[in-house]
Amino acid sequence: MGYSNAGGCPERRTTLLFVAALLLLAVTYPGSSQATDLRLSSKTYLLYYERDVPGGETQKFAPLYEYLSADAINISGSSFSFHFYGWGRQDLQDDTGTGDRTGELGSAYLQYLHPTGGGEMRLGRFFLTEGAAAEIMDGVFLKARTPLGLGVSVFGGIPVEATITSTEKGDSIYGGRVFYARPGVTEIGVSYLQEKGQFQGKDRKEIGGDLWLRPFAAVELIGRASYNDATRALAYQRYLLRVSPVARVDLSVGYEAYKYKDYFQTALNPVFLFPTIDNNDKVQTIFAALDVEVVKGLTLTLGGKKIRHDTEDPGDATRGEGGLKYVYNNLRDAAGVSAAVVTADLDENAYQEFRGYATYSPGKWRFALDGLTHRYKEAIVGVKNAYQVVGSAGYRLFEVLQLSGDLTYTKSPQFEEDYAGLVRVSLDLSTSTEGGKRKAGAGKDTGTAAAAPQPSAPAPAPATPPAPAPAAPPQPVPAPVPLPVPVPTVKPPEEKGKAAAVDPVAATLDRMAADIKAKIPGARVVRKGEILDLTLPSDLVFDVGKDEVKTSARRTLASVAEILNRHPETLVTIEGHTDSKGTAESNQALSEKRARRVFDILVKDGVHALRLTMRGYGELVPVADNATPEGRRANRRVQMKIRPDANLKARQGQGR
Amino acid sequence: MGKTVRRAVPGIVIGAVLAVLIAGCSAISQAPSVPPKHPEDLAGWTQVDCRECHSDVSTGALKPYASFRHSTAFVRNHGLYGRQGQNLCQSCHGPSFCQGCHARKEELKPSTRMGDRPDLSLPHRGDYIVLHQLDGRMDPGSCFRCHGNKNDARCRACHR
Repeated sequence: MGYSNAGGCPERRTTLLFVAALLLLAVTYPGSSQATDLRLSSKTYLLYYERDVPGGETQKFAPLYEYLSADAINISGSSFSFHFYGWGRQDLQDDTGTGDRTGELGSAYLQYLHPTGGGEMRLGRFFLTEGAAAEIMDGVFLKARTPLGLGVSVFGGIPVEATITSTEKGDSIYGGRVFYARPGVTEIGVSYLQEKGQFQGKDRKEIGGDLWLRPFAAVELIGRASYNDATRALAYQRYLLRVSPVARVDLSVGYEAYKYKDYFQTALNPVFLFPTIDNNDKVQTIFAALDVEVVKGLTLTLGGKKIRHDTEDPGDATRGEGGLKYVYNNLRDAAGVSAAVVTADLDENAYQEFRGYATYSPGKWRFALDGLTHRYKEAIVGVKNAYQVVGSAGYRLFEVLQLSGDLTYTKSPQFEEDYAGLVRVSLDLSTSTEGGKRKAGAGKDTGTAAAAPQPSAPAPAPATPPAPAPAAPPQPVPAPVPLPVPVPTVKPPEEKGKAAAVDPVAATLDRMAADIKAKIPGARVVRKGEILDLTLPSDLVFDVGKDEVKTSARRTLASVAEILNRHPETLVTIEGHTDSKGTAESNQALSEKRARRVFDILVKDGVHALRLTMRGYGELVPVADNATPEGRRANRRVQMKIRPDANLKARQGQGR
Repeated sequence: MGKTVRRAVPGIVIGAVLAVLIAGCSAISQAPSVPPKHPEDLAGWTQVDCRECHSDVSTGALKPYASFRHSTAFVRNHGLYGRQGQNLCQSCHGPSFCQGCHARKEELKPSTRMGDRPDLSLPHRGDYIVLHQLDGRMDPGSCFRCHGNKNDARCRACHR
């Protein structure tokens, strides 16, 4: 990838850094790739547009962009990760004769995250937001927090926020933050940043303060202020009071203030330092926003702000806005309308904005339509209205690969009639050494809702009660009390089509078996007719003689829950079995407790309680010889018998 | 060279002290950090709300998950949260997510790259070359945060 034609030394450094980073990745990666989570996202965009230039000529442009982000997470099972992000452009056509190719290395760094205590280190090129800093730098960042709540962070390096004029970059940047945090209650920090460079002839020196305070469960105050040590004045402040009395409501009011000459002193871009502007102007803004989820999926948003200037030009302005957003199709699609009205002291600053959009994603297709209009109160080059319509259509070729194309029509003071096309190829790959893939829409409908205080409707009961107990189980445990967990009501669409073609019961159970084999190492799974028999060795889930589920097994059970939720038309009997060591009574009690534990965890992980029954069999149903250690190990087990519910059985009938 | 080394000494000392602090404090702390990657993959095209699964306070980010509900208030003020730590954001979004908008030099508007996602809150929809004249006069600070000393190639095409 070639780097900018504006480049010189910094771009060579960038390339070197990139190469060093790749080497580092290459050195750290091989050997034990199983334990490394990889995430790769490649977005390729081909644009096409034409521009009329004076003289009646039309110029054509076809830039091809590649955006690449790659992460190697927990390299070889360690706490180190490596992150990369960058993009490049190659012009396939450019009638101006300039351009050709350029690009940017956004980040390439090694990160260490200590598993506890929040300690962190970064080395390389990264984007950092920490107190006064919101910078891209080639350098190092360290952060540590003491268990008492006091913490400190430092960073230092070479800034890479260079503007297109590469000589105007600073030559070093460093700073840090001291903070105190009490979980769930407050975080308060003081920070410092110094950047050597030519910021109106001075170095950049900022002292920052940040605050987050939650005096009550539903109320948050968050804000930050920045003192410019070069101009010796408070440069910027922003505060927000956020109230969420119930989960469906989010109300906020805020205040922001800055003075041009203090805030913009650190600008490298000359537009912020126009000699024609009174740089003593101070801007104060009061703003508010309200989100209310009126009914499930439908959110109403209202907002407004009042911008006040000390000077007559540009004077003051007020913005009022409102919108509705509806989310549907199992959370995959959304539609919305919005309107905003800006009134201002000077007509040249007033305008209205109206927008509407909708998406529709049937199966592997995705369509989107977005329309926007601006109406300026005072005509701009004789034009009072602007329009833009974007239409998009996409198709998911594979789970990881999506093709889409957009067509954009624009009519505005800048464009008489403009069409622009874009073709997009999105590739998203990721491997996971922990947890599974969360199905789209799994959240509200089938997700692990145990912890979420949602106002969900009472769960409808399955079509049939759990099957009666098998013949004479010793001391059957009474059926559990159903817990108020949302029952899955939405079935992934692809299952319906496929299942109808063959025996839906066998197909469902076979898919579950495949999922279990893929996701749950150590589990044994066999389909016997219309029952899927899943066996988890007790040693995997419990310590010997204990009924507490091992921490390490929580993930296994979460995977089981996820698979069960992916196939909601099934019922499950959880069986606890022990070996013959110890007394029969104690084994019986232990097996019952263990079945109960597994039951509780599956319910907590979002499996509806009405789908589950449980029994303890003690030592009565051995599957191997209790005389040998191997046999005893095989007998110590949790078995889950998964069978179709009445709905699935009914579909089986229809299919034949 | 010698001067550079001398100038770097305080930084190296502070860094070493911090490295010890990280190791020490983290070793005695029981509170799990935010994992670098969310344990479950979250579908990219759907609307995810942390509160579906989390109702408590993050031991890593030290704030309730409810604070990170992506409401209008959060989206417009996410910088305030981000300046107290990026790790919770990065766990789900990936570290490169910030730079999709907060870039050093970017040629494509986010709304162009993500033209298939009209449901997202993305800046500069429509013909913003025109509209920025109005918004910029009223609130140049809103431009400054992203275009003050980076990502200003487009600005400089006219504002020289």
